Amino acid sequence: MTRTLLILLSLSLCACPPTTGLDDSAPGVEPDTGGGSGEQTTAVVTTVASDYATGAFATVDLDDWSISDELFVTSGDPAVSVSEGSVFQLNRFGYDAVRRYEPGAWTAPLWEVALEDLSNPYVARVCEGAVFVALYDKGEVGIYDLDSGAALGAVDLGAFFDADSAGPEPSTLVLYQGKLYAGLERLDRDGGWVDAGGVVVEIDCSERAVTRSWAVGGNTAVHPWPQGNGLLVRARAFGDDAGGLYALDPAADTLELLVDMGDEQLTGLGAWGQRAVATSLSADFGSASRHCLDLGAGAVSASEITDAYYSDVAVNDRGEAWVATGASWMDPGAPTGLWVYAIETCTARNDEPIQLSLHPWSVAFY
Amino acid sequence: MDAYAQAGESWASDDDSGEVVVVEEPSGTDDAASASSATVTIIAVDEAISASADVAAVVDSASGTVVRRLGGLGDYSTVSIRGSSARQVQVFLDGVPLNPDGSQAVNLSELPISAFERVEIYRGGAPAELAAAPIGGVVNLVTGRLPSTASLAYGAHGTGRVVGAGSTLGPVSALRRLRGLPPSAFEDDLLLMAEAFGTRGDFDAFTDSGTLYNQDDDEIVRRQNNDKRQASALARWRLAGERMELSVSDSFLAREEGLPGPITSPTATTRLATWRNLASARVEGHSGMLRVSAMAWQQTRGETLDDREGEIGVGAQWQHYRTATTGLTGHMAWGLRSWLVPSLTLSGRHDGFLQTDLLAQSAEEPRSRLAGSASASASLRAWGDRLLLEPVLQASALDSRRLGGADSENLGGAGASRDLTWAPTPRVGLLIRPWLGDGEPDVDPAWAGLALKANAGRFFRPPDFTELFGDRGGVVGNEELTPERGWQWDAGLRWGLPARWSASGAVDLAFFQSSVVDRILFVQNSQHTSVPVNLGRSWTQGVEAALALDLCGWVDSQSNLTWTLSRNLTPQRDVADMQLPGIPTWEIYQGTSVHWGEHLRLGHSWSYTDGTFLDATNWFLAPPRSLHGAFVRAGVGGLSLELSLLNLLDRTVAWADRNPLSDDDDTLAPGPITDFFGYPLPGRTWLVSLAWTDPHRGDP
Repeated sequence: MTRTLLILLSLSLCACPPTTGLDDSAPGVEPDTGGGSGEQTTAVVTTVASDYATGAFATVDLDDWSISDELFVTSGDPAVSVSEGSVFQLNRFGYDAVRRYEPGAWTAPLWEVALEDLSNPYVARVCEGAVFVALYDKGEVGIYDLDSGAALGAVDLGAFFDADSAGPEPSTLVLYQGKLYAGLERLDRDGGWVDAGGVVVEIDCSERAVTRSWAVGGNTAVHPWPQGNGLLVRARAFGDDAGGLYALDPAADTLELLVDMGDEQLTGLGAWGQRAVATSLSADFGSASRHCLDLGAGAVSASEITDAYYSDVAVNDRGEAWVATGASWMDPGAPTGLWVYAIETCTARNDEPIQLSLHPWSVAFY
Repeated sequence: MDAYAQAGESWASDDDSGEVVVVEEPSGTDDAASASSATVTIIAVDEAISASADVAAVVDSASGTVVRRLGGLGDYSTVSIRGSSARQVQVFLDGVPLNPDGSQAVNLSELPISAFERVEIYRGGAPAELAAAPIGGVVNLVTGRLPSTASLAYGAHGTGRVVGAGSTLGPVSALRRLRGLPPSAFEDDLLLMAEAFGTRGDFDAFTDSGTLYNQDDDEIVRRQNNDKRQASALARWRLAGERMELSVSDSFLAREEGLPGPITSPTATTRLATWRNLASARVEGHSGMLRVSAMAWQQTRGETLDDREGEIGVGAQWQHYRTATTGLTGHMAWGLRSWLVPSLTLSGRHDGFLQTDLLAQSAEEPRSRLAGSASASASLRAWGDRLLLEPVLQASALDSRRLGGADSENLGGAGASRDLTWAPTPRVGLLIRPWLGDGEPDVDPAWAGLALKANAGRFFRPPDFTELFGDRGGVVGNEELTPERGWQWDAGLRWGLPARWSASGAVDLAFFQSSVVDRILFVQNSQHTSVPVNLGRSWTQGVEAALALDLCGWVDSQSNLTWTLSRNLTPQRDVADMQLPGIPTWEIYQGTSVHWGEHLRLGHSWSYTDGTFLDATNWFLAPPRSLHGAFVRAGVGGLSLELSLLNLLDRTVAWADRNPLSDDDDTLAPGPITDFFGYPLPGRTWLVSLAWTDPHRGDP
């Protein structure tokens, strides 16, 4: 079994995490909870070729879904984040680098910096005038100057290393009430990528240090919770912790299980109030599913098993979850594209996916 | 007689008696190619070749071939023929398959060029005796009879090579001569070759650090962890009589190397150790109208990948892979009539594969499968030998029922690869020499050397063990793969130019077309891994032209031009109808050498490629590449001293659109010259070689 499963694991967990695309550009202020501000106008999407050798960048208008495709080339494993009015395009797979763009000005980035080999950047957030980047393979959160991209240091995650020497695998980063919250997957690579117990850490941006942490499940990721109270954490079952979705309220310092997903492993999440759209992989990695979650009732209201490969789920300020369906190597002929869900009703707004020239990989909004 | 130098041999009749005899046609490479229906290039490994040349360089000098390298001398290199993948090309050593059914992409840098007398490149119409049905063609390395040689070379990047080779009398003949006995009906000879090669491989290379828009971090870096050490040996004993020949041979390779990784993500510690042993025995004989040959062979190959730091794959890996292939091939030809020679070829093979996880101290279940082929073929001659028709009815079978249980039940368990499958792989070759019979008063000698050729056939390639079950570095197997299948046809001519005005030579011209369904391609499925999948259909066509000239006996020239058009017909919209990556639209090769006896030889080579897309989406068009090489050699007696230079003009950087998707952004960005993304080729590389060759040229 071993490595094949690990590859599938990495496919779903490492290749491109949900980037929690809600614009959290106002430090210290919760995302709009009044039924959607509607200020966001554009989805930014990175796309990849069928063989993952190359990638591209595209935008989709949120009103009419008109597409500006293939604006510039990226690596074959590109991610995108939006924060503080800047678009960050992160390249991985041997071309580890971060580009900062001014929205709409796609001819050239404001700056582009190469990261150390095998950094594997996942997500970027602006906090206290600096750019914080989750470096998955380096096992730290790098800090860069917002204006120049110059390296300023890193948040030390040394206390959360597991048995291997590869670090705690930070893969998600959310800005909430002026602090950053990072989900640390903590996978023991030397032991066959088994869970070593995931952790959510709180980062003080001015101190550039971890101030608090919560151990929860395994392979842990943190998400914003617009119209909710605090943050959402998805995790696999680990030890006594159930696998599923948790609510984390940093102010009250509470962590409680919202939805028990059993062996089903959540891979993406888009929440809005007491509803959420989620994607998952079965325990044997043999199938993917799409779920409607009732967070108030702590239940899965609907599920659909599909052959698709869900590469990302992102939420905009209109209460929409954009679900990116990438190329499924197990079913190369499966349709790919972007599905737009009204989270409140968990219904798709499109009959056919929004198709780009390549396969969508990562989504965010501005 | 070399049974597998098919191109140099044919059946003919004695017109007076009607008796069918086996005759050997002139062994010169030009004549042999003209007498075969196959589209074949035969390159002699002789003094015209530089001491810095390796098998890859020799193969690359033929039309229709594209060699791709991961670096410089000694680095991994593979060949594609007529737009094929590297696995679709079968490589043989004296007729023994190194990668039967394309069981792996043969790393040409593992093969010591010094061991071979000639290299045969069959682009269409491989001989039935090889029992092969390769989609991409055949490269057959022939040992023949080597002159005794010894050479010592040293050059840039700590590259060195020591070679000793030669043919001598075998023990039977030597003993007979020692005792002063008269020659017997049986004489034997011995061929021995040993080579040691090493390189630090630490050439300087350009990197943009993975940032297209930021040239402040562009730099020249030294390639690290790219050293190679390799030892190879070959021994062959051959006992030949008037009607029978027996040969036994063994070829051994041991290699240890660093795997450097892409230039933007280099490794420091990842290593690969390889050893391979290929043993074979062959007997052939003829009596009257019957000619029979049989061959048994076994190849064992072991590889140990040490990536305990997890630099190239997902997590730490320390794996050992062992493949063992045992095969039998029998061939019988019957000279039924002067114009009809039917033949039968049977081949069977057992493949075994074992993968061991040295980190976990556990071995997977051994896997094995059986493969075989049967073919009935004929040589039909008519019109006074002017017409030769060679139909081959062949079927290839694969028994995968013993491949073992699926390692990852989650993928659906046993798939199509667990069946007993077979595929018809018929083919036919046609040779017409309308003016054969040079010397007849009504034949213009200028046309006597003209040969018209055509070949067509169906082929298939089952997925190999790495593609099915591999778990190495960035490659993960896919047990659901089905065989690739395809067809190919070509038509062309070979014109042996008459020796006039102190010049002689040959012209080759061919048009080819091929199609492959269920083509197996590696696609990335996570940040560090690729998985092979069956991806639809591809189609390739093109034109090959070659001109070989010998001017005044002191100038040799070889000119090749290949034009290739390929299309990816997979259903994925992003790559559909695009050109296949890595296959240049235009490829030109010019090799020239001027010599005054063997006292002084000057050589120059120029290769030019254009229209090469680096990616399947056809966004990244590699700039035209023009590379020169040169050597100068001076010799006296059997001693020679050579200085050779590769990439003479030190071209390492090419400028290309930084954003090929934008019509508004015309900015160019520098990038390294590569065959594969991320693996730069070295700049100017020098090598000095001191060699001694027995003036008797290998006559025992």
